[in-house]
Amino acid sequence: MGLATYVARRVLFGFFVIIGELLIIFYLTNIAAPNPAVIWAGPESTQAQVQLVAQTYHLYSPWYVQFYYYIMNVFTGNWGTSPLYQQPVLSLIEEYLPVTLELTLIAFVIKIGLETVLGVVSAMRPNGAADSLIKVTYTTVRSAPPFLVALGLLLVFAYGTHTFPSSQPINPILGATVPPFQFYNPLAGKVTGFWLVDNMPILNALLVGDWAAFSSAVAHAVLPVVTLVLFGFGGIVRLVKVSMLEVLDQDYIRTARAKGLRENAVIFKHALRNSLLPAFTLMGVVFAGLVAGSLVVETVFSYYGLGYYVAQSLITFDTPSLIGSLILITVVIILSNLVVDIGYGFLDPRTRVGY
Amino acid sequence: MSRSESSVTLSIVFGNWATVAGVAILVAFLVLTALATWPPAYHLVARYSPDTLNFGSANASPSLAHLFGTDREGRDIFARVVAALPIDIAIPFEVVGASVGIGLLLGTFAGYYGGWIEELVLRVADLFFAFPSIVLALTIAAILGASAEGLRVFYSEMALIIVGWPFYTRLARAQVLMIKQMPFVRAAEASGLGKLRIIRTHVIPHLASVMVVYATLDMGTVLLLYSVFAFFGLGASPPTPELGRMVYDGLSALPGNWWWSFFPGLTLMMLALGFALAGEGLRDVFDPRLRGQR
Repeated sequence: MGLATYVARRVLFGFFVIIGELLIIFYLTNIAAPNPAVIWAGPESTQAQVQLVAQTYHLYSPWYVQFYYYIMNVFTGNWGTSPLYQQPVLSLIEEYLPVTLELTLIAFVIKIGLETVLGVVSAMRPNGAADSLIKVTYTTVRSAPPFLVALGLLLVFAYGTHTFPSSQPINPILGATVPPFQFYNPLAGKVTGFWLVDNMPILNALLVGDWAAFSSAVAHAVLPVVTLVLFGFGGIVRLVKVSMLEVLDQDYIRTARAKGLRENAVIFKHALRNSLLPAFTLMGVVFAGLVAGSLVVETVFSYYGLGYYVAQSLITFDTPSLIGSLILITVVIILSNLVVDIGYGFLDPRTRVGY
Repeated sequence: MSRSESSVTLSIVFGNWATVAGVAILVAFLVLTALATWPPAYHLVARYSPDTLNFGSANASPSLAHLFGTDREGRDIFARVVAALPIDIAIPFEVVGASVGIGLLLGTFAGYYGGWIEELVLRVADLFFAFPSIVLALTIAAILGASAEGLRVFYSEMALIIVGWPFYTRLARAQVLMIKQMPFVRAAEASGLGKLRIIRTHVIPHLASVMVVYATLDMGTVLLLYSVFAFFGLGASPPTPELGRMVYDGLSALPGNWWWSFFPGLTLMMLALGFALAGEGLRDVFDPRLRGQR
């Protein structure tokens, strides 16, 4: 099977995932409320609005007809209007997504790097002082709810030492902090003309060459990124340590040592590459975790991205926004998993049999 | 690579010490909760009622009178934390219990019978693994809880179970595939026992220890997840205290009143730490192969 077939199959599976997700939500809403029009129209809607929603979504038809229209609306980009923002959900997501994507990608890179290094350090002297210290640290950090970590950082570094700003993705003087963002725009916000890039505060400032905006955006991102890095900390450390210990037991490492290589060369040139492979499979999960963590992190730091948007929708029970964001997050997660799996095939040709 | 004798001893001591600490934390919380829920003993634990408003002492910082300080309405935060414990401790047990139950049932049947049952169960579980589970669970809880304030805790638990069972199903199935090949199961089959009887008396008891270990490790995760649900208002409705919700409410009083958010958050962390340490201790006892791999 070629790579194209493999990708096609995975994309098809992705469609099933989204349909399955919608089916669960559709089914549960129908059980919880036999007439979901009231829920979909929002808690403070009038009778006429409820009627309109009922007609728009064919709520007087049998459930499978309803579900057909429900799915069709999703796949044709008709994701409804947010009762809270009075704007189409799709355009809201377009505004908010890039901010979160940038934040989570930065956190992702730092997290993977830091945890890998700690994992290698742990494996070099198992049960030594460094290993014990790392173990104690991540066991404690993992047990902290994300909002507690955010709160601690906020109290110390924002309100205490005033090192970093406490909220928003950028200084409001330098750019819009709420949609429509069109950050720091000498060229009317359209630097590349591509919405995904234009709405990323740091990248956009960098491309425009606005250093004041860039440094402001970076400073605003520090505390949210640190919180995200510490969210669920230790999973990769453990995995890298275990696989490193396994690799260090193998014959080719003994050969490398026997021919007189220095320990650093053995570990970083020979052992590290192979011991990173199992950790690589975890990357999709880690990224999904960061996206979920962004809900809490962006709420605490008022960092207006997709996580903040979803959190607001949760608090105000904004159903169309919730379902729209859920679908989009699912797509992002499926794509990131696909990238990870294809990348894994390049790193380890043995696993390419699968496609 | 040489390991000195003392560092090995140290690690064993640390391992034991950590487990002991975890169990001690959990027992302390259970005793506290039991005393607080039993009216005659309540005054031993907390001096104030969790719901009494006292605007005269609003936003009081932590002191001997108010151990954790007070919130904007002058309610004693320590009393509210204690009052919130029963819900927050019960929920991991309920959610993980139900997830393990469903997973044990589906996984065992899938693993033991094989064929189309196995195929179906595994494919559905695969589908669930592709979901962004936390966001899906939050969405389900919010959509269902929107119009039913009294049922929000129940719906949040249900949402957590919906995304929780596939892990245990896979775990149980993988274990059953191994157990199925063991001589004592073969012997039971040869002696003509029925399949259901074999599953009940030979397979499931053999699974139990592994499931208990993973369930204990999962408890802290579920506790923290549920606290996020409560944080977003998907837990018990006010004025019932909820640890996660108290953190959220306290954020609006920053930077002045930091104790309002901090102590409920710290309580959650201690509880989660208790579950994590106890769970890892259990794993070392039940599964020596994993010893030292934490």
